[in-house]
Amino acid sequence: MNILIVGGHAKANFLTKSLKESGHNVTIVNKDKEWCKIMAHSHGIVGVYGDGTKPFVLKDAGAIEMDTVIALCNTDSANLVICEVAKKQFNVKNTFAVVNDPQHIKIFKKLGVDKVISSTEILSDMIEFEAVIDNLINYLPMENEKIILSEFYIDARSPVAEKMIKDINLPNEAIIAYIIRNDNLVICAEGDCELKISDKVIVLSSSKDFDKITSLFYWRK
Amino acid sequence: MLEVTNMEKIKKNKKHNVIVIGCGRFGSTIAGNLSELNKNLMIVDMDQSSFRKLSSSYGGLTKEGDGTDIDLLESIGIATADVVIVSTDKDDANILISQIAKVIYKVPDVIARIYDTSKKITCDDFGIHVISPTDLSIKEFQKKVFSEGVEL
Repeated sequence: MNILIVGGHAKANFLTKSLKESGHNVTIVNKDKEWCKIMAHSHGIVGVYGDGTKPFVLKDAGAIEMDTVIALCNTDSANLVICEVAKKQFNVKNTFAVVNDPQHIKIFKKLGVDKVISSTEILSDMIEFEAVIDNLINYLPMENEKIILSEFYIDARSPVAEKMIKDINLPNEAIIAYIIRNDNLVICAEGDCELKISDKVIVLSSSKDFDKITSLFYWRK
Repeated sequence: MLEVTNMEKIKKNKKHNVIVIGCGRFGSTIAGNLSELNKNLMIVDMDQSSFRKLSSSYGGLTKEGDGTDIDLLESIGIATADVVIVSTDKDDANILISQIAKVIYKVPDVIARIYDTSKKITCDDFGIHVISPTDLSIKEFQKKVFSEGVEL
């Protein structure tokens, strides 16, 4: 695939490296002349020096041949302009933007950008789970975050410790799929199974119930 | 200043809620003019000191903040605005803000100033009114050359 990466320093470097390794054809555009040279030399790619929000710069970089354009600039508005120019002027199929403001994710998608990622949101999600929820071991959103598969560790402070599953007020749509006790799987189909300290539980729930689920298993610092 | 006949027309028009984003020479002058025509004006700028450019008769509201911030736009009532005029000094910001106003909040009339004519393509198909100072200058130049007798 032909991929154009616009803006970004460390992010562009890392992406270029991994995309090259998987056999893609990478071109970069950057406002930083020195960085363009460094990238072109170290990865053996075409580096175009210029402001990627300007259509003629994208044209010079061969935007018309590109299958994917990735916008990594520091300002959200620049990334929107890059993706829209790529789409509307050069008919690029896939556009990918990074945004700072998580509220811009929905907006960019509605305006036609194919994939939008906010590092701020990812970071704040991580901090929230790492710092606040001690007992959450794994967290995996599925189906556009409608469903969440999670793994909790039960310690003495967990509200559900040493209670029967039928007594813990699990939301209707949530399922405790497995209990892991001393590295063995305990399958509990019935509600009359006790949750013991140092058990691990695998829970499947809808994302709207996830707050309720966490409040059952964790204690707040 | 606007011509007198047009002023009467604008005064009678029921479109009252006007938001101007970017209080530069263009934004502040437009806001001042419209304020004299009894419109409900709100002007936004990142820099509080920009509001000094507003005329002393300006009777609207001012708000310091980033026009690309959704919370700010909602707090100043973008959802009920009749007209949004986007005139910050950055083309990219103007493109983003005008598209938010038109596509997300369905503001009936959105006017965006875009200096770089090659970026106008981003606003195609959205129904945003684009003002391009570069195009206007070129048109004026041609007028001077072709019909006002400037010889080259």
